[in-house]
Amino acid sequence: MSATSSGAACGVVLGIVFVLLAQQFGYLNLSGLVPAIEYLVIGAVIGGVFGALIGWGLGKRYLARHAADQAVAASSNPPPN
Amino acid sequence: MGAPVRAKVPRQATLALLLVSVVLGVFVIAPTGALAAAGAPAPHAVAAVEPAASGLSAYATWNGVNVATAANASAAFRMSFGANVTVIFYWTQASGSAPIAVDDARLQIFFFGFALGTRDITTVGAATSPLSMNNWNTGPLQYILSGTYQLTASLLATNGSTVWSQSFWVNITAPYYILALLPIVLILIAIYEVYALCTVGKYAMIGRPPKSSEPAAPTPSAPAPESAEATGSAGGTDTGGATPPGGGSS
Repeated sequence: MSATSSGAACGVVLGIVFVLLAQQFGYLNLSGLVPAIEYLVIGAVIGGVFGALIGWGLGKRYLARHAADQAVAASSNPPPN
Repeated sequence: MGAPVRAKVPRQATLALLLVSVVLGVFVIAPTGALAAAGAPAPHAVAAVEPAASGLSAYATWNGVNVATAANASAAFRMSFGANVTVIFYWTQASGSAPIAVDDARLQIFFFGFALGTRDITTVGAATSPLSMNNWNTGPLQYILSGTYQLTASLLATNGSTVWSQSFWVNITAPYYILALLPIVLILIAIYEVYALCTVGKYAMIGRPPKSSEPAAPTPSAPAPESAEATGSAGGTDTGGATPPGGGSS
């Protein structure tokens, strides 16, 4: 599972949770079945897209950081002869 | 000097991404629903009013206020935790029309299109107006749910048919807005998912070969002939005698 797909999965859950929380705080009406499903799908899609973008960015940053740490460690600890 | 600075940058970026995700959630997802709720009423948001049967004129009051005034979600009645409400059903029949015997006044609360709760006031035989539903509340649901819900008040005839109904909206508030089971669980899930999203970068290493700064050590796949003979004579790598050493077979 890549960082992008993991971020998308988290984003989908967050989108659904935000929709349900908005209903619980009185911003949304989920009394009807069809509009409720529409809101949940919209929240899941928006959350998934943003989650995938965040996961992709964090993955790239993690790789860059890991490479930089390895380079620093290699320069500070040369291999024994 | 360079390593500590490099170590701090990703943490700041993670915090920044966390803030961005929260801001996006607050300013993109929630307002979308808020605008949809506060804007022009969608077809599903309009209170469904079933016309009364011919000759029957009816209405209901919520603590003395006609429920027709809360026909939109933006004009919902507010109901605090633990409050009780009196709903009174009134109806009149026009003279000269066929009499309609009403014996049931019903109040239903809906969520996801399904009735969460139903309360009926029934009488034996035909009832006379008004019918009072005293001390109505959401019961155990008030410990679980909060938010805006659609209610339907209806009058049923003795043959079971609905002769009048009207939908209206009620905003049920939990103590301190969040002290109900569902908001608490949702907030905990959101916190966990935000944490998981912030630490999702480590998955980028999965499937990648480990990078080593040291040169690869030669593998001991080609040992010296002497050591191979010594090993074979000692029986350390013997696999049960199926392939004996070459020196011992002749």
